[in-house]
Amino acid sequence: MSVRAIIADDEPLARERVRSLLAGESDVQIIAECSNGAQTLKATEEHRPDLLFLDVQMPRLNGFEVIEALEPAQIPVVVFTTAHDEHAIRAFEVNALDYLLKPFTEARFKTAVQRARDQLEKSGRREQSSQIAGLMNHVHAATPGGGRILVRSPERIVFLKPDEIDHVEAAGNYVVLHAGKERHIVRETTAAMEARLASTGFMRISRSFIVNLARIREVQPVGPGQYSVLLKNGTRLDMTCSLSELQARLAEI
Amino acid sequence: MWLAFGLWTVFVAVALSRLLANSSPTVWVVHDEGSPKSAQKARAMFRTDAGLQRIYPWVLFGPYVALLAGCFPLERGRLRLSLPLNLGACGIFAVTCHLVNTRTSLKATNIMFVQSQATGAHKTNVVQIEMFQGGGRGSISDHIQKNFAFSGATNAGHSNLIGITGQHDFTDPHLTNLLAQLPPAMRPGLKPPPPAVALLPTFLDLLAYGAIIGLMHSVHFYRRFRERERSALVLESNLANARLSALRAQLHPHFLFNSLNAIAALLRRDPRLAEATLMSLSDLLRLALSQAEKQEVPLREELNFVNRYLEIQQTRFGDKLRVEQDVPPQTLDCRVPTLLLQPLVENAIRHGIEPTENGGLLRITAHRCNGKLLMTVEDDGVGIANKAIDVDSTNASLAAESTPLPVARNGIPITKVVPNNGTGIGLANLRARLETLYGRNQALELVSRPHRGVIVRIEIPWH
Repeated sequence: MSVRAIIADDEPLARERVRSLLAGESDVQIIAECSNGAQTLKATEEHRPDLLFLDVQMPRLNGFEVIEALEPAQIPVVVFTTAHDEHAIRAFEVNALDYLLKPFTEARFKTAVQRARDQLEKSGRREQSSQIAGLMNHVHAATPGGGRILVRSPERIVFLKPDEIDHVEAAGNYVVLHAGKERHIVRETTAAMEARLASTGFMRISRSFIVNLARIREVQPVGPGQYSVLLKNGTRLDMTCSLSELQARLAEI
Repeated sequence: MWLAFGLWTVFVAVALSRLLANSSPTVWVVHDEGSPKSAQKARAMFRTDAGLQRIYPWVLFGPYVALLAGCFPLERGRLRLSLPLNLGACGIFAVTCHLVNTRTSLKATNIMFVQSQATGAHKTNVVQIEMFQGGGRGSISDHIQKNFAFSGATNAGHSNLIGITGQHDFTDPHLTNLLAQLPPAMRPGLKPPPPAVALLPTFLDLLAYGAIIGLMHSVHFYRRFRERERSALVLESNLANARLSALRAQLHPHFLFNSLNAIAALLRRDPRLAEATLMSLSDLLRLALSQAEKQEVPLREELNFVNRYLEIQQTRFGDKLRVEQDVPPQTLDCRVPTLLLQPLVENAIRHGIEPTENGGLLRITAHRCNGKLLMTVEDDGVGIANKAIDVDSTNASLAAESTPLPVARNGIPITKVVPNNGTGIGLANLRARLETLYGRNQALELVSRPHRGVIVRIEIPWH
């Protein structure tokens, strides 16, 4: 069985290193080499490789952002490479993902390739996908301010900063991010988005809405014990959490 | 401090008005018990009193002189303004002192009588001093008569006037009037002082002025000395910081391990290049570790260091990093602060060129221009993202759209970089070092053109 691989690294010599080591693996076929994250994303979607050698520090999208932008089903077996990134290394360790520390020896490289092969043979991608999900949670948690939120549409990738978002609306397995006049659909559960935004001044005010506290203009009573939140842009959102809870959060900011 | 000066001015005004308003003379009569020593004592007292009178204007105006000397010290580079100012002030001081003295001496004219009593030659040595002010309560003569049971005729032989203090205007009606009141035997034969002596007070005034100025200057220069000492320490610590951050950049794990990885890749294909890169890397590390503890090095040395760094980066990034240098040979001996260019080059690569897709161009230039060395480090990379620049810099970015480059006024940076991504810290350190080394005679400006890269311009004195 032949393994189709993509090498992604912004340094030509780093790609050359992987390429030359792969020359010893007769069953691995290099189908593309990419020098930045955007290229990697495109090539992975186009070629659907089995194996991806992915450098963490890359321009445009970094390694993690590439993974985040991919549909889970499209994510190949990934061997992360990094010269030095303590956060990334900790995230790999925690989630039992294989990674190569540059510079790596030929023996270490062979082990990584063999593990990837094993995973492919026993179709261990499902196992990897949970590891990858864990990795992404870890990375988000470790990024101060929740980091940028990646939003994909067929044409483009948008990064939203949390403070650009007015409120988040639940929509089944998706959430809709309302940012000014734009709507962005992200495949993530409301709970996961809530966890991600909690530290950046957001609060879940009902089953369906997470609101940016800084955008609240007023809270209006709509019935006995019932309130709705009026945002600065005029949007009205029903609120099911208690008023005191909201007040407590508003007092924090 | 200005409040203190305001209050002092009020005090001076009050004191002057009191000193000047009352113009009637004062007479001191000393009743001596007969010892020649007491006469001497009295004389000494007179002198002290005369001296005190002279000191009044010094005390009153001294603070102003000190203020002037503090604000406009006589030092190199500021003489054009401060010398005439000080000379003028000196003249005004002398004239004012003279005027005040003449005026005060009129009314505070001290005339001392010593009355010796022949019979009490061996009595106690007490000198009795009485002070009279002319005008008001009867004539001086009455006072003298009453208090000393004094009769000019009988005691003529034993009385003599031993002194008149102050500056006397011998035509002053007050004085002549006063003297006329005295018993005839006691009238002193007044002689105007010789002209040289008349000039003496003014000479003393000038001397006082000199003393105040001298005192202020010694304080000023002592402070300056301490300041120099302190700024030398600051310089040292800034250099140490720069050295440390350069070292950290060289030893930055990302840089180091990626370089080693690149060398590992090269070893198979091109062992010679691998060797050369390894040598560059070790040179760089050695230079970073042993950077001489000099504040300044010739540009040649700084460029040498930067070039080792660039060699490695070019090996790592290949075509992605293009380097252009426009450094005429005659600039190579000009002295520049140690580790001036390296952090700028590193920033340009890390934050400008590395994030680009197709790579970019790094340009280093150095030129002599109007007695200054003008250096630029420029990249055509992504520029600094807005988040890294605070609001003040919006204008700078806009201004940068037009050529020529906007020049920072007075060395005040037109773009401020928030120290949050490593860029700012390096630049802040560099700016502090330039300031300490060259004062206002330098400029460091950073112009970010979004998506068209960053230019850092440095101006230092050519030396």
